[in-house]
Amino acid sequence: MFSKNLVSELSNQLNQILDSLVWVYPELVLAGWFLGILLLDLVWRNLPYRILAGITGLGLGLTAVLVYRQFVDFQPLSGNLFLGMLQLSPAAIYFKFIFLLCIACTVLLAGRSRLFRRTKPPYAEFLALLLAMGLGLHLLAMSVNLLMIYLSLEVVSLSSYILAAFHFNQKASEGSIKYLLFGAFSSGVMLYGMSLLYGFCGTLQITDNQFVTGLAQADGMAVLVAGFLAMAGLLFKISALPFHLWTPDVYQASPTAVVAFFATAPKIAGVLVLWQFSQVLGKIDFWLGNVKVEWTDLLAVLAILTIIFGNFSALWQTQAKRMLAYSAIAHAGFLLIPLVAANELGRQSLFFYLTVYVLMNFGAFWLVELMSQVADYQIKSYEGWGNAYPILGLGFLVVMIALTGLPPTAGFTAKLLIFSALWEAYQSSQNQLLLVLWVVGLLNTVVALYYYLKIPFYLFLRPLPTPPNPILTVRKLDYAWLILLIFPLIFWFFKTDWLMAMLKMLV
Amino acid sequence: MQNYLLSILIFLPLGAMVGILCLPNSQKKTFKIITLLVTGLQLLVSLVIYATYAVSKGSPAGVYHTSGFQFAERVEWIRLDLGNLGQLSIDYWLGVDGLNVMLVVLTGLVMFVGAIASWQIQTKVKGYFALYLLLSSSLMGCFVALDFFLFYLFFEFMLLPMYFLIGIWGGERREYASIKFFIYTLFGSLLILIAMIALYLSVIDPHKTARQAGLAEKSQVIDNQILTKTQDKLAEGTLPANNRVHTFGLPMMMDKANYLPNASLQPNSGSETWTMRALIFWALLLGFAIKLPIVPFHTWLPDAHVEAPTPVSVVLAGVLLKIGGYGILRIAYSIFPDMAIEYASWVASLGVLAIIYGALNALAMADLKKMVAYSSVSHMGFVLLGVASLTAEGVNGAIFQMFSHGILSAMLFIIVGVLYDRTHDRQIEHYRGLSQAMPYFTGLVMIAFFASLGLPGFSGFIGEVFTLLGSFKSTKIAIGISVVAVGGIVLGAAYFLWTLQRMFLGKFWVKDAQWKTQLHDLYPAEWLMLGGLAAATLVFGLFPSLVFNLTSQSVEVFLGLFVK
Repeated sequence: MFSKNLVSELSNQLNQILDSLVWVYPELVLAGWFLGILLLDLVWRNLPYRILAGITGLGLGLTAVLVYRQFVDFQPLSGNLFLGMLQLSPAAIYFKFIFLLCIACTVLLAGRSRLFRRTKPPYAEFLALLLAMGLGLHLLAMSVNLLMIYLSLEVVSLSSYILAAFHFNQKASEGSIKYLLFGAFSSGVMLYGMSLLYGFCGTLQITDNQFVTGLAQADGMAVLVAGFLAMAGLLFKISALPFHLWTPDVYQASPTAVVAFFATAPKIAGVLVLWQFSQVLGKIDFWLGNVKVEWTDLLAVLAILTIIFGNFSALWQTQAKRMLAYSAIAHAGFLLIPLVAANELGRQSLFFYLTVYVLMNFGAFWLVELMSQVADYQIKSYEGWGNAYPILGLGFLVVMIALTGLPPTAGFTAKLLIFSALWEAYQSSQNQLLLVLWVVGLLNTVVALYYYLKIPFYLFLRPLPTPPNPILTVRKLDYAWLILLIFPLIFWFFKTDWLMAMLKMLV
Repeated sequence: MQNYLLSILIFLPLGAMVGILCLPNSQKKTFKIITLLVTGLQLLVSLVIYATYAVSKGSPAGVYHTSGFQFAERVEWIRLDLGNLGQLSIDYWLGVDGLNVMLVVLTGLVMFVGAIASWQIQTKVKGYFALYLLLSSSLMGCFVALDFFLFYLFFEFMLLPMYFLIGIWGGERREYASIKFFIYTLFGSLLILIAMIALYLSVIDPHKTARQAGLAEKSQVIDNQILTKTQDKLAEGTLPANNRVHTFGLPMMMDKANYLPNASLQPNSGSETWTMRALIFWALLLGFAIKLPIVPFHTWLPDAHVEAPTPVSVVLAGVLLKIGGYGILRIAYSIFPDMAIEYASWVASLGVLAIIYGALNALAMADLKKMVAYSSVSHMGFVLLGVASLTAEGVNGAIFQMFSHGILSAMLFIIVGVLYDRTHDRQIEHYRGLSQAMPYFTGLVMIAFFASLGLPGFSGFIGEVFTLLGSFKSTKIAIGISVVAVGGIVLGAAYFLWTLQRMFLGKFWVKDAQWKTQLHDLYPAEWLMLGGLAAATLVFGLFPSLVFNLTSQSVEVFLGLFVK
């Protein structure tokens, strides 16, 4: 009897796994392409970047088509995959597109970057690692199981440690080692937290009811600490306090294309998983003695610290990439705000913010990389170039204004929406901490303006040193690219409803 | 055509800006001519609005009557479904009433004068005029917008052109001045943003909500009965949350019945939530006070003025500062009348502080432009005092004072510009007896100075007297505050007369003998600007009803908010 049961159970499970395979075609393609490019490089060494990038692009395109098929075929029931390891949701599908877009942008940006091409890194490995990261990110976006979250996060992390060193100089190695050390540390902490959580509730499935009930019965303080530890790896990925320390060094030393990628895709994936995570933990009231603490309180404190730290540190930066690193920290704080709000508007505004954030970041890094022809990433050496290349300068202005969060850019709309969500949460909970976060977050825009404005300031308000000895070449491709990235930033301000209508469908 | 006049005011300069950007850099003269023509047209359109604004009894007077605005345009712009939070609706909603009609005229006038004064700009001409037109468009937009979101868009949008106009074409310390201006004003506007978010999430649009909730059929005209029904359902809490249409419409925010019953900004919702209303009121007041500017948030103003080129100073003092006063009237006071009454004495004291402190500073300044800048601080204090009085005289006087100060400060800054163009020096003590070298100029300076210090017959007198009358009459302000304010007039007379005496009277002497040949009397363009403005101050000083006729009805409606 027993053995028969076991066999039928086993075959049942196998069937379920086989059924699930249909839903991970995009991931399979990514994995295949990753191996394929490595093999290709073994057979034909030193293929030019253009050809390799083309092949990668092909893989990305194919993946995108498959993701689109998923979008078309998606049914709510088809969500639960691999015995509850992964869960496919419309939001995951949407962000898979975004990840692919990020990879494509990174490939293009790396191709455009002179510094990257001059150091002649192994192109095939570079692209293969990007694809591997894509695979990890795709899985991360679908993970609902602590083990799966950890695994896919490690896939992402391991690739990023190597990618961070792709300038192959001392600084880059330093940055990469720093990244590795902090990353390994936070992974360890995360694993520890997860094992504690497992101990409390006996399941790794965060969507499981048992997970919530188990945690609710455990000691409040212990769960709070364990939850915080389990978040560590994710906070590290989104570079939020107190796991932000790697950010400035890696941003400064790594190739710009890689940095632009780090600033967007892993961050998005991290925030998405955090969202899932806090949706679950938000249901629990923690009692520390007589004081009731909520999960969102913890997030709110982290958000406040991150925003303040990121913004005020960015004030002192003179190097564009370092400044953007601190700005990325500050934005991590803003990304936590919808998680604190934890309501329907919070979810929508988070998706909106993330979408806009991708555009802003790639716009900013593309421009910074373009300027590196003359400026070596020092903001001060941007002097006067805005007058010489008005369109370039205007592009910088729009991106910086969007990052600050001023109208008429979608950056403003994104801020408006997340702060609306937070106000709503405050209204319903009357939690004073949320009000503090609300005011601190909004007023920090003044600080942000000061350092973002530095770039347009040098571009337009200072004269071009005569004679400008290095020559800036801006190709048509650059303009086309900039317009593609920047136009939506303005367009979505005036037609917010269009993007929001799309995001609303991702329930 | 008449229905689109306000849109024309906004989009005409915007279109011209695009045109300028498309022309090649070499067309310097064309840029100037285009700008002059466009601002001239703007002035013309605003005069048409002035002339056709209906003032007969019973004509629409706006403020909180959603359908009471003249030349109104209203189109839905953005509609977001926020799920269980309801809907968010942003309108492209323009309109004029007595509170803003004179400011539209003022903007048209000052921008035109500024365009003439811009003729002397020689460097990066294309960028300058493109930004100038952008500024003009956002200023107009700010005054006619009736949707908070739209207002805020224009309010923020004018920061960028202003930043570059000061930062690129300014004087020696332009970089410092421009960034200071930007940071201060942005801080103010963030306070306003805070208030905006809190407000729109607390307020619904009964019209749209009625449709959304199915209380009115698609084709049915929504009458008062349906509105009341909607508002009653809202108050009872029987209106499903996802049917609420949150609005940014300013007039909707002035109606108590539109507030969600559990919102912490809900008026008369008991004593425990009064603090939130007070906080948001002060956030708004502070935000606009920085713009006005009010001591101690005024320090950006002297810097910005001293460094800005003449036409930008003219626009800054003539129009930009008025947005602060207008915002207090239209937004802070109209939406929070209860708080306005509660804190009337505080607000009035802030006004008086600005009057006295600004005047004392003006007295001490050695730089003519700084003296004029501080006189602006002092004069804008009267606006705040008038508004705080919450009397018909005071509020009418405040609007008049804004209009009058717009004309006079434009004149004063052009006067400074005239001197600076000739000698590149603005120190008061470097000149003496200028009346002998420049008699006509001195004549116009005397008009400007006397009008500013409040000589009867000129517009400055009316503004100051009415605001003071209002504050003395007001039951909400302690009498002592008003008495101190009178001292501001005395001080005003002191610094203007003293400056006049030092610079223009006595024996002709200038610091540098070379200047003697450079000190021409007025050129035709300067004649045109100063003469026109002098005529305006005289006309409005002699016939204040030219302004009061348009404003008084709306002010009455406005004051109605405070007795309900």
